[in-house]
This record gives sequence, C-alpha cells and structure tokens, in this order.
Amino acid sequence: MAISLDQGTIEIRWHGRGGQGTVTAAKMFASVAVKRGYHGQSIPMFGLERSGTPVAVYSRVSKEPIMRNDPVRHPHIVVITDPSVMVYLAASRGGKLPESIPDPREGITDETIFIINTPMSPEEAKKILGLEGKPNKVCTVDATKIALEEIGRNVPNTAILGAMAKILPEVVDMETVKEELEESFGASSKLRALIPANLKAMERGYNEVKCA
Amino acid sequence: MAVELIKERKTVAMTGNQAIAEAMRQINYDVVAAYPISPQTELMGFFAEYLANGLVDTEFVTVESEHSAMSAVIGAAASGARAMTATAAQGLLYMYENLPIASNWRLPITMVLVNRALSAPLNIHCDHGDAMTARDSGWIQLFSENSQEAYHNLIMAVKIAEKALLPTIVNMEGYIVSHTIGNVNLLTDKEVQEFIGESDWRKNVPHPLLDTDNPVTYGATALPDYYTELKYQQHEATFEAKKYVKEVLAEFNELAGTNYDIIEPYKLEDADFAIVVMGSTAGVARTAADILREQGIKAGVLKIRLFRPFPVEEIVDALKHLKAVAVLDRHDSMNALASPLFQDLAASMYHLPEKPLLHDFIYGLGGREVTVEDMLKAFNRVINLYTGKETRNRFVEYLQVRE
Amino acid sequence: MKLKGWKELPIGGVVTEPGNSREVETGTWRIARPIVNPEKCTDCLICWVFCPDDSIPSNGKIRFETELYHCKGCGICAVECPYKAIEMVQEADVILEELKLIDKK
Repeated sequence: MAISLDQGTIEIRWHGRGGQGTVTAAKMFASVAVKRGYHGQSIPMFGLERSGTPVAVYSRVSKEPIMRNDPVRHPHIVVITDPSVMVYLAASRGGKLPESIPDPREGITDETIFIINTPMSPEEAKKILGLEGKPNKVCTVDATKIALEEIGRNVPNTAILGAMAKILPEVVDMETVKEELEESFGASSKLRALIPANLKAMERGYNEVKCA
Repeated sequence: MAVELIKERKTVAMTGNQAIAEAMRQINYDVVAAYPISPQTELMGFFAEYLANGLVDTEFVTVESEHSAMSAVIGAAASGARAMTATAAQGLLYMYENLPIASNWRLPITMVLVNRALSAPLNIHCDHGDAMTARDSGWIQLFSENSQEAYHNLIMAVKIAEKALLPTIVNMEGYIVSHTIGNVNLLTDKEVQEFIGESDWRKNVPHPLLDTDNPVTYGATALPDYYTELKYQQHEATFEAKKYVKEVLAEFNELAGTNYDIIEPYKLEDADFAIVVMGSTAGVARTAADILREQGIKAGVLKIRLFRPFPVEEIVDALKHLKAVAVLDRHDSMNALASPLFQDLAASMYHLPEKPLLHDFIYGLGGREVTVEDMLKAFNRVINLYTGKETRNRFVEYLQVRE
Repeated sequence: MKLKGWKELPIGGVVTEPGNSREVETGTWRIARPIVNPEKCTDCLICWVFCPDDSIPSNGKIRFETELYHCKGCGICAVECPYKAIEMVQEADVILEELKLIDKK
C-alpha cells in the first residue's frame, strides 16, 4: 500500500485550519524528510493565517533537489488534518463545499491517496469523497481521539505522521520523528515530557490507520 | 564567538527566515538594529531568541522606526562595527532617506530585505517593489531563489560589502522564501567565521569613528565645487564592485562546493527563447523551459543573482544569440518605458547590431502565485511575437491580470 | 464569489459599500457552535454587547438566533452569559446530528 520516491517527486496537499498545527505538521514532515536524506519542502500558505481559517498547505519530497515552489495542483497524497472537512463534505451531499474551505477533491487523479483525520471508516470516507468505484486509496485514522487519549491535548500531528509512515515509509519513520521531536521540544522540559506520549500517538496512528 | 554551536556541517529543513537568523548567529554581528514589519518580524524574532540564549555577542538595538534602524547601523558601521539590519516594503521606504548616505560614506552594512509589495493597496505578500526603489541608491543587491541561497547570500554579502566598501542588500522574497521550508546545508560556525574574517573595528572601514587618535567628521557638506568628485568616487566604486562580488562568489564556491555566479544560465547555449528572472520564480521558469524542450522548443532561463551592480557584459553575453527573451519583472515601474529589469536589459543590448526581441512581463505582484502555466504563457507570447503571429502595442504587459 | 476584474474595481480601491465584511463567510472558521438554551435565556442582551463579530442580532428587546454565517465560535458569549444559557458544542457534532435528522425524514 505504500508509494515510493523512485517514481520522482511526491507532492502533498494538507488541509487544515490556521492555528491548529497543520503548518507545524507540514514542517515536521519536511524536516523528517530532510533528516532521512531527501529533499523536502513545505510551503505554508498563500493567504493570511488567521486562527480557525480553513487552509491548504503544500509539501514536496524528492530524491533530487526540488526546483519548483508553485502550489501543488495534482497531489499524490492529500492529508486532511482537520476532521471537520469531512463533516462539511458529508453535509454538502457530494456538492460544493462552502467557498471559504479549500476542496480536498480539487486536482486529484486516480492515483491520489487520501489520509484523513476522522472517526469515519475508510469506506464511509471514500463514499463521502465521491470516490466509490474509483481506484483511489482512502485511509482514515481518528488522530484527534488518539491525541486526546495519549497526549491529553488536541494535537493530532504525530498520530497523522504515524498514518503517513504506513503510506510513505521511505520518508516517515518512528526513529526520525523521535529525533525531530527531541530537537524541536528539546529546550523545554515541559515539552520534552510529552515526547513519549507523542511517540505512542504516532505508533497508534500507524497501527490504527485503515484504508479502502 | 560567544558559543560554538555547529561544529560539523549539516543539512536541515529551514524557512528563509530561520536560515537568515542562523547566518546572523554564525556571522555574530557587532550591531543589529531593526524595527518589526511582516514578513521580517519572524526573522528578528528568531535572532532575538539566539541573543536571549547568549549565543551571540551582538548589540541588538530595538529602535522605534526603520528610519532609526538605518541611522543606527550607519552610526555603528561608521564607528567600525560590523552592522546589519532587515526590513520590508514601506519599512525600506521609511529608511530611504539614509540609504544614499550609507553608500556614499562607503559603509559595509548588510541588509536583508524580505521582499514585500508596497502599499497601496496594503499587502504583506511578495513582490520586488521595495527592492526596485533602492536600485539607484548605490547599494549592491543580491537576489535569493530559496532559503539555502538566502543563507549563503548573507554570508557572502558581509565579505562583499567589506571588500567593495559598499552596503549590500540580500533580497529574500516574503513568504514564498521567508516562510517556505526547504533543505539548507549549514556551514560550521568556524567556517563562516573564517570565511568572513574577524570583525576588526580598525579595519572594517577606512575611517572608524572609534579611532580617537585620528578623529574624523562624517556628514560634512560638499558644495558644487566638490559634490561631483565625491559622487564620482562612489561611481567608480560601484563599477569596481562586480570584481569583488565575483571574487567572493568564487571563494565561497570553493568553501561550500556551490556553483554560484552573478548570473546563472540554464540551458541557454543552444536556446532560441529564454526567460530572464530573479528570485524564487527561477525554478518554476526552469520547469517550464524543460516542458518546452520536450516539445522540441529550445527554451532556457537566465537567473540574475547580482542585480546591482548590473552585470551588463555577462548578461549580454548570455543572451545575445537568442531569438526572443521574456523579461519577468516582479514590479511595475510606473510611467516608464517598461519595468526595471527590462530597462536595464534593453539598454545593455542597445549597441548590439543583432539583438533578441525583448518583451516585458509584470508578474507575481502582491504575492500572486506564480505557476508553470504562467511561465509557458510568457514563453509562448514571445515566441508568437518573434514569429509574427502576434503583435504588441507596448513593450510591457501584465502576465496575470484579471480582465 | 466571482473575483472582479480591474475595470470593475473602484478607483483607489475604495470601499463603496459600508459593512461589506458581511459578505465574507467566517462561519466556517468555527469549530464550536454556541447553542442557546431558551429556558435559561432572559434576553438580557449581554451576549449582544460582547459578541466581537456582531453575530447576535437583536431588535433591542429580544435576542434573535445566532447568525451562523459569521459566528467564528469564539465562545465569548458563553463565558459572559450571566445565566449560563449558552453552551459551546463541537460544530462537527452539530452538523452530523443535523444530517441524521435529515436522513430520518
């Protein structure tokens, strides 16, 4: 079920909300990619970051230096970190999302893989995305629930990275994420204390992600 | 150096602002003076953290305006200190009164300009409007394609400024470089220190104010009998500067294993058509050139790293054999023939008996996203102008405007 | 919302219609929705005073229903309500609940 960097640059589009850690997740992803010896890129956004605003963030990872920095149009992977995107999609009944929410279905191809933070089953999510009968792989993980249970706060990033480790094992792995957390949390003992819980959340993300 | 942090080279993921702050730490400036403005604010925030953690020896002057920031670094540099500031957009315009003073006094100040569109309308995103207002100010200007280049450019800029005795701007585009995360190969602290050389107030400038044994006055009047000569002294220095930039780039390439030049051609040797561009759009333009090459069209790209002093000979040499050139200007030089890069290019080629067709495109204003399709559109327009399929009324047009 | 072309924009980029932020949908920024308990609400209008987004309409006497197109879900109304009549409920839960009701019908 994994995809490989042998096919060239992998392009990712993240869907989240301003101020809820999506930029941090994309940044962690790029940082982990660089630590694994690849070229990583994350472009936060082209709009104003305001708390709560639905946003799209772009990432690229490649074995070769990354030349371009334009928005990702045809993502290989769509990561939806904000669970309400699926709720809005469900409410739209296959129609248009409210204009202020970037549509996760935009520019996708048959190969686009979805990784979604939602309590829904992958089958249900696939149906809501309108991808029934399509070859797309749709994976879901309840990263918010995992984060609340393991870390005690709504920070689903590490659980989502766990799910990504299953889809993109070449780039994301436990050991490197641990290294990354140790570096970024290192200065504060309060944050450092959260590393084991974050790793547990990542492990659960890896184990609990289901795909259809 | 206060604390040696990076003892071995390493590759990290950093935004442009983080990379610049890292370079500032490694340079360990004597004086930094700055006033916050988006998207530069974050950069000074990172640096302030290094300062608070005791990692640098810098005197950080948190001034009350950009005008004061420039005044403070001018004072510091005239004293003999290695001094730096950073700003963006209207912040630079507020400094402007002092920019020609810094350059005529030959003060090797470095400034990071986190390029942001000028008001009005109010906009915090990127274009080159701020940098272009400074093009006649006598400052050297380098452009950066990504965070890696921003980091390297600032380290080189210290040495360029001190060799040429001219203040130097490192341009880094707001958000698309300042906030985009990419691979950055960091040099060791020792390598950076050795490359730029120890800051010595006796040697950084020819006449340091701190040298009380040889007191001098800065800021004296030059009436019509002397003004011309003092401007000519500066004029000659700007023509000399290119040599120093080349020297420093060559030295740096040796140290870092990079392949930097004042201009960087991409597939131009056999090209018929090219885009000329500065900054973060270069990679998107190269992607478009590759697409056209797959279709059998010989396309190339010229990226300009050194915008001031304008590398006339090198650019003419790189472009003279082409059929048509699309010049990309991320700024509108209102009321002029066309925008700055076009004006400089057209003037550079004026004397050639056979010259490529030149056409100017204004693009990416106020952070308008720049796509490969935009680049293809510019290529196709100049190809059609060249073959006579299309005509033009002006030398300049907007690439992305909504009718 | 269709973006305007350069010829359609007023000279100077001036705003010709006051209060046009009304057109901007900020309701999608909301992750929690204020739900008013009508039995506890006394129409004291303290929430109307405090709402930073002018999302609580009133005729000066009665608190009308929260205007959800603009309400960002900041929760200030729930904190300020002297009668604890406003509860912040997860937006996603509310939408899903509404969907279930529609499906039942």
